[in-house]
Amino acid sequence: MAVLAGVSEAEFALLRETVGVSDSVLSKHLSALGDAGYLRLRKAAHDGRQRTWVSLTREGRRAFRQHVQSLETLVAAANRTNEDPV
Amino acid sequence: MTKTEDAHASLAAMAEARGRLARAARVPLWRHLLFAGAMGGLIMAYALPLPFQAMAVAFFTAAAAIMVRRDRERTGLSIKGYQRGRTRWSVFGLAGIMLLAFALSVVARKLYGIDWAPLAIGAVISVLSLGASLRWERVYLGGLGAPGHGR
Repeated sequence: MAVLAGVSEAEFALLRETVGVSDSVLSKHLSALGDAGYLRLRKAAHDGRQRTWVSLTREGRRAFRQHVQSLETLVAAANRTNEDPV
Repeated sequence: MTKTEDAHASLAAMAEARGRLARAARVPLWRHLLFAGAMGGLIMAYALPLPFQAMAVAFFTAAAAIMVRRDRERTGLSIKGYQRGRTRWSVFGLAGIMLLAFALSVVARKLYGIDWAPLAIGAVISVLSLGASLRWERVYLGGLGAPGHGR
């Protein structure tokens, strides 16, 4: 989702290479995210091949932003605790 | 692994993936030059006699559309230039300058009879478009640096 948040759409193969996982692992995750309403999948033919394009839905973008904010808040709180252990 | 370590690891993984995305999204200099040429050409087209103006505008407009399509095919990415974020201002700024350039070309040619004005203004637009395109890419790639940003 971090990759998709930076683009309008990404092709499946590019996503797989960028994230560094296998086809099956990526398909499984995309399927789960699609079922949650966070992703949209679109098939398009090019040069006689079917290519799958993936994009985040508005809900997906919102969920990702909230998730990142939560992670950053957690890390910031931990850093403050480390700086001032009292 | 603690929750904090999990969070650190997640953010680091996101940053790494976006770093790879940034490398995939970068376009070569010739692509920026082609874009600049198309934008300049749209203004320069107004220097041509009327029937050829429409043909030239159609040609450069089609060239811009083909560039976007070829970018998608080559990179496997679709990035809207006007997407929400800091890059949006580069696009709107250039669009505003293009409109102004066109208006100036019309005024120079129609009111002052300077037939070569669109060529000169178009050349300036080409240079500005090249700068805008390079800046857009720099801002976009810079925005990919943080996991929650870029859009």
